Amino acid sequence: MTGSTFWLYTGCITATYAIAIIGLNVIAGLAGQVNLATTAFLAFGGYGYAIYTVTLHIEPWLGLVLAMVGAVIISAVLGLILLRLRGYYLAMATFTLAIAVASSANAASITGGAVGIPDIPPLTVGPIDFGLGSQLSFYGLAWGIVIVLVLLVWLANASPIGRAWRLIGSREELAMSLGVSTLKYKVAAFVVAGGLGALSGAMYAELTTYVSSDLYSSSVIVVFMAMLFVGGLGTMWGPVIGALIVTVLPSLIGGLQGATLLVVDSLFLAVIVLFPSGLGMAWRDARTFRYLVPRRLWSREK
Amino acid sequence: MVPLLIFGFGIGCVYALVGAGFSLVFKTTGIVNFAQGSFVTLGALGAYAVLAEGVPYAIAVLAGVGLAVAGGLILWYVVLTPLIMRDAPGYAPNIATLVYLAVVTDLMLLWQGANPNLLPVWAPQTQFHVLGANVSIMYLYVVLAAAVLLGGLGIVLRATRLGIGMRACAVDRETSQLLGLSPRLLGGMAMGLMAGIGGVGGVLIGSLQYAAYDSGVTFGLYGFVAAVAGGFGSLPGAVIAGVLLGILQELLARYVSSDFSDAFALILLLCILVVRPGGLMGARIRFMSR
Amino acid sequence: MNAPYLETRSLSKAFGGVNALADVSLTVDRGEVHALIGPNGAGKSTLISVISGFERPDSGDILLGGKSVIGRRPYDLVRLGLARTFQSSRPVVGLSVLESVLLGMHIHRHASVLDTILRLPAYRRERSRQEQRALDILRTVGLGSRSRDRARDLSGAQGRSLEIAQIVATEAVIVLLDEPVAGMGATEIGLLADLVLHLRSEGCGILLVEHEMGFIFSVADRISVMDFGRVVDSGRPQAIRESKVVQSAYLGSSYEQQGGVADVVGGSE
Repeated sequence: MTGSTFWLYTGCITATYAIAIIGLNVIAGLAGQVNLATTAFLAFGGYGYAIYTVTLHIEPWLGLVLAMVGAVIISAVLGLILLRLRGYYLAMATFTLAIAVASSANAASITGGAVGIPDIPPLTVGPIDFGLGSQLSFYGLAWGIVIVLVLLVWLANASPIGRAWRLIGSREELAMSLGVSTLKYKVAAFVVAGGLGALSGAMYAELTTYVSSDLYSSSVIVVFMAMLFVGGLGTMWGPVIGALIVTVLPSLIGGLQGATLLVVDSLFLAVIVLFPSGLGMAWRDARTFRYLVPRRLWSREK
Repeated sequence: MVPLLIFGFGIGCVYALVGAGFSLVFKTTGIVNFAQGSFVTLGALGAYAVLAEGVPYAIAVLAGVGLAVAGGLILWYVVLTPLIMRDAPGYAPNIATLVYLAVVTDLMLLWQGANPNLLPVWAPQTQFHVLGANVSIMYLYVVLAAAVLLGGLGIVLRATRLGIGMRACAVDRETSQLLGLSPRLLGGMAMGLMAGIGGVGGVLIGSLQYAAYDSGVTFGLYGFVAAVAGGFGSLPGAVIAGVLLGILQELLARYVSSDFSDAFALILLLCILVVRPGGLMGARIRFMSR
Repeated sequence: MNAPYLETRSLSKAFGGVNALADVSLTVDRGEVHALIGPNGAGKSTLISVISGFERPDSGDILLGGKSVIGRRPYDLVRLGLARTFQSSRPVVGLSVLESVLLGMHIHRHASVLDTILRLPAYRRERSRQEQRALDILRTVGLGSRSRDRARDLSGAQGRSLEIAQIVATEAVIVLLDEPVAGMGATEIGLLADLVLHLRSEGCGILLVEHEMGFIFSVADRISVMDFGRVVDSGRPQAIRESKVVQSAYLGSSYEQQGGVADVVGGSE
């Protein structure tokens, strides 16, 4: 790949990730519900798109729509069941869901088992081809979606809906006692995360023309949580910043061969320790840098 | 059937050790340490690497466990303590442990490569016959060792100053601080102790199953599942759930489908969790009350 | 409609063998302050949780506006005119005082999701109407000048006033107050008493759980005493002040010999 195609491709991946993180941010950052099941919905989108287009030979754009609709229905049903759990129990349940989906995908024949599904056709809408050969149109589409989503989430966050989500995230009992149908709002956020996860998964499959179960393994959950936290949980641009850093960083520090992963993950860890509110809110954390120096400060502990 | 139960029991004991680690660290520090499983990898691969240098077995085991303890202490003092000091928002400490797990995994990959390794057996390798099947006696040793460790842990928690301090911290962190207990020190102790126990788990399982750089992720997952299914923070609950989980996995793999055994075990646990949100051993959680 | 707006009939609730509530029957009517007193662990807070739908009773019935509401979720009860406060009050991070009051109007929003997110005229009209009303409410509770401030910058007592403002915003008929004056000074208690009396004059029925006797006697129309999950006595404040049953239940038998509740109850602490 030449330099410019490489960066175009990286830009496409960044935007694709960002779509999923924006959704994750709605449930985890705004509504405050730990959702570790993002990869499950990436898988629903990715495999859905692959099965519709490769196995069933459905038109790619229709396959994309069907994959998203399917994920929305699944996330609504799962949300109604799982979101009655709270805190660590919800974390565990969603984590379990993600692993169960990945390990089923690895074993089932409809998903191509451990091999996965190759040769996913490009998405064409009318005369426009969004496939591998024409990354510029994919780039435009993906970043267009990202910008619209950031705007929508920003509008929703500033509206009574966003306030209700944040109220649920910080004081769920108070939310209930003020008449907020907490389950409905949590499920709505979960569906947003599920639908956007599926969109992201399908777009990733379209871009790389390939899906397999290791795209949805537990280490990918870590990557997605890292993107959300590095960017800044609950911030509007954080998901985009996080996706950008996580995809671009490995390319920037290339040439380390095997050590690249280690360096990248260590840098994430350092960012979380130094800026726990995320880089989008770095100014807020800069004020507490002095507490990084170990002294007899434990009295601050609550 | 019987050998399956014994295999399952052996693996389940390691889940129980990891699950107990999740429970105790959570109770003492209030943090869910997703990196708990990495201590198993550190123990197993650490021992393996040192053994490859030709040192005696006992020293290699000590080195593996020591590496796990060091991993736990680094996590506590370098990563978590600064976050707690700064009143880090939301789930930052928990996510930090998740990323720490990734860092340890990367480090192991770089150091030991992607190939799984098997520790040589550390005891006379005899088989015994149960209902017409041969079972390696190693499984019995694993169960015994885990029982001794967990029993010892129980005694430490009940009878020593350290253990009582940890339990006090678990009940009420603020008050125990006022009473002069240092949550930082106790948290470090709990983390170091449970990292060591996880490391022993790694050494135990390392001679039964191949251990690779990413084994910790699996053991962490199942340990976490055991801890939550047993009622988060309940030590006996975590142990019982861990053993049951190990057995369940083996039975599902044998009688239902080996490909889907993980998925089935996980989905079954999901169902348990939805029906009994407090876990198997936990009291029923009161609806919407903290 | 002569029946009391809120009525509990023989509510019982046990936690692991301990009877938190045993056969509790009481009523709260519009325009009445019904205070609930009793030692810690007597079941007062459990009663509030059960009435507001956070806990399910083992047996018994709760009537709100003449309808049984057992098993209803807390957020459905708000729509039937029931609101509550919590013992620990933490303001929601990141919201202004005005926005906090708007939270209380959640059930009175009618603009569609699309209108709301895209800020179409239907939403904007509703929004400005609600903001106007929220400002009115804030003036009533004495926070008129603080509407733009962050909610978490308010003092403890102002935070309580903000909670009352949220409750007024829900247009509740029955209000459950769980230890509203805990940790307050005399001036602040006086202000809160005025607010409670204001709610009453607006036609609200108030169930008040409190330990602060001075506050109770300045607002209560009726007092019920709970002990070990039972209502041991109920009546006008004056009658309760003199009741022997209450003195032994609430203050322990040792106080009985020292001249009764009146001494203790008279002052504010």
